Amino acid sequence: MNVLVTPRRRLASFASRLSIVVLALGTYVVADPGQSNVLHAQAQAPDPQVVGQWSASLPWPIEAVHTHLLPTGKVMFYGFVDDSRLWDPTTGAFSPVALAGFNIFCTGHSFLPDGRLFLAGGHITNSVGLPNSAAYDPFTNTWTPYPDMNAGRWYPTNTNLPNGDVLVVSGDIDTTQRNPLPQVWELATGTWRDLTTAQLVLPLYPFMFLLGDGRVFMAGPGENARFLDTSGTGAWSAPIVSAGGLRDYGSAVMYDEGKVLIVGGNDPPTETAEVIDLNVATPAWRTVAPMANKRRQNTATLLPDGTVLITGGSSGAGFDNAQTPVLDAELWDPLTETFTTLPPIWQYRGYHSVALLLPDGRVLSTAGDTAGESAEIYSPAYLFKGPRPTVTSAPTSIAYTQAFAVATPDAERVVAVNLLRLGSVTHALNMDQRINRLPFTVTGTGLSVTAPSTTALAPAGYYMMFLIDAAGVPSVASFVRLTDGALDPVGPVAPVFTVSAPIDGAPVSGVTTFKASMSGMELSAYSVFWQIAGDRLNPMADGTDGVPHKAAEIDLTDWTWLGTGPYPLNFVAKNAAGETIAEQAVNIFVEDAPPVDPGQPALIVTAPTEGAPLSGVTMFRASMEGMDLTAYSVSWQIAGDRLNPMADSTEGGAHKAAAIDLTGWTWLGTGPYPLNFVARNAAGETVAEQAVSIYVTTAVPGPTNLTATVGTANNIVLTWTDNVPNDLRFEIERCVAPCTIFTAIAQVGANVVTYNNTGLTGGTAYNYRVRAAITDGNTAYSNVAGAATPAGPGQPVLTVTAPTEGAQLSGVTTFRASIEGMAPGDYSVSWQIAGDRLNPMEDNTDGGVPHKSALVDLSGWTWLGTGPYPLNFVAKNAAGETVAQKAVNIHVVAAPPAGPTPSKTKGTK
Amino acid sequence: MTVLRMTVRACIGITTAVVLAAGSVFAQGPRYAVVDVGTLGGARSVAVAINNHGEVVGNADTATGDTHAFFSSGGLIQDLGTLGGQASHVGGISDKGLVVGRAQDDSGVYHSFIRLRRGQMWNLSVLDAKLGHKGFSAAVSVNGAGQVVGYIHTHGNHMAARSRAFVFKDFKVTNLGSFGGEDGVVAGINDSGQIVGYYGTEPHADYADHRAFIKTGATVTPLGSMGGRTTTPSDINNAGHVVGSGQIKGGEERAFLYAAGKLTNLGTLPGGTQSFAYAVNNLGQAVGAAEASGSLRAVLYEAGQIIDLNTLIPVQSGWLLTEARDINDKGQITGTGTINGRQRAFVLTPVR
Repeated sequence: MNVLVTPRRRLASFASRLSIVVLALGTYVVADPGQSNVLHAQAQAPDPQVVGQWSASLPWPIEAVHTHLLPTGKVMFYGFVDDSRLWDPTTGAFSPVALAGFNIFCTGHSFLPDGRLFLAGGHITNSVGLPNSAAYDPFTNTWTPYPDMNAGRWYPTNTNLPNGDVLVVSGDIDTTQRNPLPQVWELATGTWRDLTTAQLVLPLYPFMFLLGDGRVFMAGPGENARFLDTSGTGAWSAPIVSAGGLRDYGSAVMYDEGKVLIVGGNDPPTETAEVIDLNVATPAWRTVAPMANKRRQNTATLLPDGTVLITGGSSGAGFDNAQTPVLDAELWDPLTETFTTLPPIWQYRGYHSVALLLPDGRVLSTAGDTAGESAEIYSPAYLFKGPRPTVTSAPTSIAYTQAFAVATPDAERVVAVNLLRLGSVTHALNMDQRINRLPFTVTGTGLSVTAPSTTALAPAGYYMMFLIDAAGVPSVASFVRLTDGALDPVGPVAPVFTVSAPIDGAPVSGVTTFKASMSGMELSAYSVFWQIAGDRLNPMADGTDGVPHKAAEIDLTDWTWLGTGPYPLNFVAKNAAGETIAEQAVNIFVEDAPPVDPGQPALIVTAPTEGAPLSGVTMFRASMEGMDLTAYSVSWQIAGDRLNPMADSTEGGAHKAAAIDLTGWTWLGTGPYPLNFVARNAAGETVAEQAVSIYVTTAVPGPTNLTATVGTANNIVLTWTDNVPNDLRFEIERCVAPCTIFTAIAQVGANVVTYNNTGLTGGTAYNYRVRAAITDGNTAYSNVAGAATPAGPGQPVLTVTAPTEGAQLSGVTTFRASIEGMAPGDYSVSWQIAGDRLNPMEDNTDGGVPHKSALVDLSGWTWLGTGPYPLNFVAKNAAGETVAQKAVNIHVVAAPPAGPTPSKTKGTK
Repeated sequence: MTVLRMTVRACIGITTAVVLAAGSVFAQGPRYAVVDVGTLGGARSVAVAINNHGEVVGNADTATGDTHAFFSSGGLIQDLGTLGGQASHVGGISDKGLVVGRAQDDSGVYHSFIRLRRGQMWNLSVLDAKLGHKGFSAAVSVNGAGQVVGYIHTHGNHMAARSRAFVFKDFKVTNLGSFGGEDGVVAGINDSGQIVGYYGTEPHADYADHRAFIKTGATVTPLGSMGGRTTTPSDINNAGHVVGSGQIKGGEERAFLYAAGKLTNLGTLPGGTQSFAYAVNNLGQAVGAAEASGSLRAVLYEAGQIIDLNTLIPVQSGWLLTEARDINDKGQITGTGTINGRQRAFVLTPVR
């Protein structure tokens, strides 16, 4: 056997296209053991009746990192983004899937009792997970979002529970935390239950299996296996230690009720395998005969006859070592507990590869970061051993413990009736793989088969039912739905919206035809519209050639495109009431689009982006293509208001920049405002303009007519006009004048228009402003009103001699303040900047006048940016009571976020 | 009296190795008062860090079900908002109240943020265009000097993405690269600018094999291994002592302390299989989580012992403390536990 294997390996490594290989070997014929049209390798030596046979390598639209067999018989798969596809194993056709609305890469997944695929987690970036959950309905091509989990999960495992709930464990929150909290998604409520007393840090994508007693068994990949009781707040058992130790990126499968195989994994990889029988009183791992090959990144796939197919992986050290691919497949027989080597796959399938059992008994092997967008299909030996048992009829739905009839002319040679759950596989782990061997008797018309007895032995949902004959040959599967009336008695049969033209990714030009149809609905009962790249919806007409459908003939000649590339083409189906009932999107590829005339140099605005919501301090950035900074100027204006110049900046590339503080601006109302940028050359001539919209949300007019009136007891009374009909409360802010940074000091209720600010310091000037809180935020601020409390008899007056008002500060500087007439020992003074903490000053007699001083090194401080900052001085008497305050503004030149960078003054001591 | 002696030793024991090597017996009875930090209107909250003023930051559910970074001080909890998106997550807080983390913009992309004690969240990608790419970035720690460390992912594509560490100071980002490995991830920075993190021996350090290091000036020193293929630091104190967890041979994690050039296994609770150390204060006390009877408990590593913090709070408190994330120099501890069936951030304050 190795004679042929070796050249095939070599060829595989040199040839990416199978057609080359086929021609080179010249020993392949078309075969169709699995009712497909693909080429099958028929090598000279390996007898397919003994070892089966791999198909040609097939191109695949994307790298199918997550792959699932749907109850519709189609295979759903997705890769690194929210871009799922369907593959029909019977026709080989690909079609798109509705978007989930979040990045479903790195999710956990399993099938619900009604056939929907339930996803948990997702991908923000490597090791940073989404908290999302959602279910995909394969019958309607729609997604249903469910509440977020406690936190993100990147690489979690889903496990079906007996009552239809789904256990989700593990997954990374981010690079510093793995999610230790197991959670159960409850079918009845669609909400999450926390297993707060079962919190452990588990490996990524742990191997989890539902047992017949309702517990869940974690078989790995760590060396500590455990049982999880998911009732109440959860409980883990004591660990059962495996002899093989860590098996990360190995694989595991429950090959019989309560019997689990773990195989391969670790780094460097192992060829060892272990089994455990969880039906005995004291389960323990038992080492069985090893594989012929060491491997990690391998996948274990249950076949209809109960054997386990091992595919893919690497034998060398490293996370995903493509230099040491294990091409040979292996088959594990649970009766002999031994592996048999099978023919090699064409190329390395390691990290991100999957394998999935198909309804016709073949196995799809695809993905992996080396092989990528390709697939092979394995036809096991049983497909070459004679005629397959056939099923004339079988129920589509069966109930627990129910005996049901299966009509077959081959009843006499059937030796087993096996239910195989629909697979859902990623990252070397199939999370929804299970076999149930059903008791049966032979009847006059076929078989009488008895359904599984409990939902723990076989969770409700869709299964493939295979009849196996004495030669081990399986029938083509019949899809049956195992139902528990209590869970979901209604079968999910709904119209399916299909776009038949154009196919996804198709190049389009000239006159082209779009076609779409809704199964099970009369043409008169629905309408379909198409739109390209979010442009307007265009109706389609009824088409009756072939299957009734909606069609539109489009002449794309002379269309203006942004350039060559893919464009989204969306189809929207509506019912007679005009309600959207389905959507389907494909990409079309526009080739040879005429390039956009470059014309004059373009003014490129990189900030803000179109439609950006703006508030507070924000940056505007723009640059002229191909022009030196000295050759032009750029100004900005909002809503036709005055032009404001921008400064040169070389941060991240030469451009013009302006830092704008929108705080306190008066707007006409919430909504978009045009922001226009105007570029002029050195002669002052306008050479380009560019406009973007900004969205301002803080534009609700606030209170007006704020007045501040000094009272007689160191208090100030504020009054204002309430302009807001739906205010929730008013917030009063204050600062010690002169000042720009206010601090919230109080709130008053809705419709209250006065506030008495008591307990103030005598001889101090205060500024106030007021705004209202409304349902979706706050209004704009009122005008600023100020008043000064009088210095009472004997009221100390704090004098600040350094810094002076508006002084520009950097490096080491000195603050000085004093109270005339008070002995230095009778008071203290502290300073604070922008409301930050108070810092004490020291007694000083430099210059002959006793005062308080502080030597402050501003080097290395973090500032919000260049600008004025309030510096407040607070004097307290010996009892710690504030007796006087004084504020000045200082101007700080900070390292700016953009624009010319001033040299920084380094303070010295 | 033993208790008093040990407390004194712990307080003056700047050399953590000495402190951890000593034995200790603690008296019965509560040592800490426990306070529920609350939420932002939703069901749950988790704590991330506490500074020496007792100010706590973490993440909490809002009334609409989103997760937002919060700041808690004096019993009040404040929503720190986002950068225009739905979610934000805290990395750390300095004694000056500088909060750092990551937050989503309106297109859902996470950017590193900083926030002064008062005021709005600042997008580091705006403050320095070096972070202004469209990929992910997260600020994870800040020291007393206002230096912020974090990491970016260079690419949105999972396979092409590489982690690169950065330090941010004075509106400038400095790319720290990947420390000689394929990827570089940072975890903490102390007041003298020493940085701890890990680098991958092959791409995707965050989940593939990686090694911990401490960076002092330009010198990168590996911390060693606990016997497994990953060593993951969490924090560094001003004495340069590092805590974290490392994989052991069978795949489980063990808390470690790195001090004086030596990596020490901090052990587990009796019968437990895993332990983690998330933070170490300047007195050499560390906190984290460890398994007891199949579930994680918040623990204190002190004076050579690993102590279940649930044994140091009032018996009738109703709390199950599941992880301790940070400890300040006053001995206050913050973390996450369960009370009334809900995950909540807590603060433990020593009462004796």
